[in-house]
Amino acid sequence: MAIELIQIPGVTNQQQTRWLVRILQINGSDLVRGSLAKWERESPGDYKKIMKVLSILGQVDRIRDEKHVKKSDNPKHDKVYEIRAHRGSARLMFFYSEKTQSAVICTNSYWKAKDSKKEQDQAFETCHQLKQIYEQQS
Amino acid sequence: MSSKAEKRTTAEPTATTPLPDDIAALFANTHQATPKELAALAKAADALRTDPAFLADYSKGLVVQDILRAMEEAGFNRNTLAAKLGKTRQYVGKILDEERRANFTIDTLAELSSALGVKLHVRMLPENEHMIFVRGLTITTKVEPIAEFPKPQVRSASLFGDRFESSNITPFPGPRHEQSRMSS
Repeated sequence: MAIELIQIPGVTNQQQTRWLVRILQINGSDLVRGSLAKWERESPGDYKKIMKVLSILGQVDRIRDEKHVKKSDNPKHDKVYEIRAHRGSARLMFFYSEKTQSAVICTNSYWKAKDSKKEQDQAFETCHQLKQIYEQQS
Repeated sequence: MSSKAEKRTTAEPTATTPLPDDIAALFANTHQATPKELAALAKAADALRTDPAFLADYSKGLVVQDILRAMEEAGFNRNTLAAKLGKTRQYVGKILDEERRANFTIDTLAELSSALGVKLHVRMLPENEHMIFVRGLTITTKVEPIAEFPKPQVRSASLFGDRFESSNITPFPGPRHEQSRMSS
């Protein structure tokens, strides 16, 4: 299994003074860029909101506002988070790399189609699994 | 943003352990961005950096995070901040909610920073120049992209560990380190 961290298209390192914000790529594939491309094309408002939070995320110790970033409240999940497009439907999951302590790693995404916790729980679970894989393999 | 900079910059170690089946299936069934889509994404992100509406929204968001952090460190809630400012709780709510009608003037920011006992820096700098705060000195400097993961200068806040563990969290609980903040 080849694990790499790749840049978010168009997001520069100069915007990341506190954390480097990266996308987890496994065996040459990722679960984020395809969604970002779709949101940019079909839901530019949501795309801008996600990009805003990503830009802020790289510059502060942590985001304290749950309308932008929400931590999983499932006790089984090990500190995984969701970036929210406020009043929108785009969602991007991430975790803080506990090994390097300098990276925010985006893992997967989903489109909140209805007011259901099921898809959010599933996305948090996927993020949790990917975090475990990353921490074990890196 | 050059295409070179878009390429992978941070290779991580590899291993031979296979992916769990469900995760492998998820990767296999997820649309991968095409080169054309990636180019469009880079272009869109570049456009955002010069979009006044986006910059205003982003700057407000960043300032609000600074206010929330300062409130946390000063032990203020919305009521105490409102009282300090001589304003209503609703006014503070509008600011913290980043509402469009909230009045984010430099005067407002000065009042807030004074009430919170924090420094206010409002600057307009060239794209490749950043402000750095080092032990009481304020320096503007040209900054080159970070090549690899550096050790962060500021660890996440832990003063409030328990309080935020259950809600919106401290990524790395631990003793609070001396701070030297970087901001753009």
